Amino acid sequence: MVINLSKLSSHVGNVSAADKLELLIRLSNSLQQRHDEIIKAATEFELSLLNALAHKLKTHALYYGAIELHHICAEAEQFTLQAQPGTFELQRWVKRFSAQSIAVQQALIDVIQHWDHQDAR
Amino acid sequence: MPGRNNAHLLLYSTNRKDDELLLSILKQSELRFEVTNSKQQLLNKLKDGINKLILISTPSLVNSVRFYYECLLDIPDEELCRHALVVTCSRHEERQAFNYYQSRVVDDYLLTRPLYELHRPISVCYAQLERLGVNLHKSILTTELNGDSPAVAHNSLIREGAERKLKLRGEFETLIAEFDQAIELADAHLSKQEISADDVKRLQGLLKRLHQSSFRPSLIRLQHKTLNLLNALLDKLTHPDDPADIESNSAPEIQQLSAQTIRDEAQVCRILLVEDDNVSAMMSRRLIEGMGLSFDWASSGRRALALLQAKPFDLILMDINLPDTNGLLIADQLPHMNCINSSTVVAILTGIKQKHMVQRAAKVGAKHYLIKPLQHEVLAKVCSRHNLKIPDETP
Repeated sequence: MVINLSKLSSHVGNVSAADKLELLIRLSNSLQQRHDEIIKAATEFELSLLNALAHKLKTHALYYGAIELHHICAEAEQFTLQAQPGTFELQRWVKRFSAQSIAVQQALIDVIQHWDHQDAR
Repeated sequence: MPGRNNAHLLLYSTNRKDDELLLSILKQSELRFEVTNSKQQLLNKLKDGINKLILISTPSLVNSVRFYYECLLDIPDEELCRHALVVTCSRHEERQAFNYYQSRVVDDYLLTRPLYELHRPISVCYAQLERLGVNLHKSILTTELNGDSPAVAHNSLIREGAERKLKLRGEFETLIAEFDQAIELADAHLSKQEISADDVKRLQGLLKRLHQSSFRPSLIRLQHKTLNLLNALLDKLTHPDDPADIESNSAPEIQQLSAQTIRDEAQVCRILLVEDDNVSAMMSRRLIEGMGLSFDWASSGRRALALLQAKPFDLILMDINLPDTNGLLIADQLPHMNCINSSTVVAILTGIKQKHMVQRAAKVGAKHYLIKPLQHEVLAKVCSRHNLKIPDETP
């Protein structure tokens, strides 16, 4: 499972289903935006920006229980602090990040659509 | 930057008569300034998008600072223009003014009651404006000496030296930026227990170049960061075997750092969250307000200082990495600020899990070190430790 929403309420309290849906939409939008920013920073070798973006996404990932994405972001935080991380290492990371982030985005969209349909009924 | 007719300086004065001497001195300079005693005009000037200096003069230093930060609360971040704050003070308030300056509550201060150094207000205003990109200094030495040859030679020596200094200054500013980056990098390596000989060598090389320079004011700006790094290095040397990470992985945790002060009476907890990330702030807001607690949010260090001066809180949740400062610096300065929140409980709320950072947080007086994201049970535990009432958990 790429996401696990069982802990969402411990981060936001007991909110209504509609509020949860709204939160999830915002988190999903934010992930899509952050994904693009991270890929751009990595492509342009902007390591300090990449470090800051990965640091924030590392926390966001835990809101929806995306543990693997959390770990991948933590890795980026580590290697962007090295004096000269290799291009190969960075490319390999981008590939893994991209795959995981897209999987999480898709999982979030699936849940949103599912909840939305339940709501509509 | 100010255009041709825009004022460089807004003097807010509650008693123009008291500031007559100051005004007559300012008139001798190149400064374009306006004087007001209207809060609304000050608010307008803080929102007009033009870089400027705000000089506040009221009979009391504390009142001047409070007044400025109250004004700041009325202006959203995106509308606030770039500016510097200078306050006037009397001789007996000088120590407090220096405290404010050290903790960056004010950018500078002027001892105007009485005004001993007549031209000091001009030099302070010029220096602050230069930081804002407005240079009012004369480009050439205009005070000509008498025509006898030793004096002319003396004048020429000064002129050439000053021009050389100006040229070097550009190089020096580049050096400062390099040093700033090297400190950041070494600090980051240190927090991950990965400090290397290269880091030390790089810092030594830059330090050597800096020592050869004589531009003290620029060095002072690096003081806080350098002292923190030295502190951390000393810690590292005295505790070489400390493990790199706290045991916890993804689960947020709470770490008690020192003895707690239990309040006499339970009360509804008023929380200030200092956090630059919108998503984390939004999630925390839901959680905190959902628990029936009062919530305020500052997205920058400057905003946090404004709120801390103006509104009492029971708990401050402080992020470490902020766009304009470091949360640990604010926590460190808070007890010395003599404000309504000087003894408020500070809990660091961060995604950084290194034990070393926890030690630094403890050193600056933080009572708790919480790992993001914030969780209901963690916050409830912190509130309970300080006897702060949570409405939704009241039996």
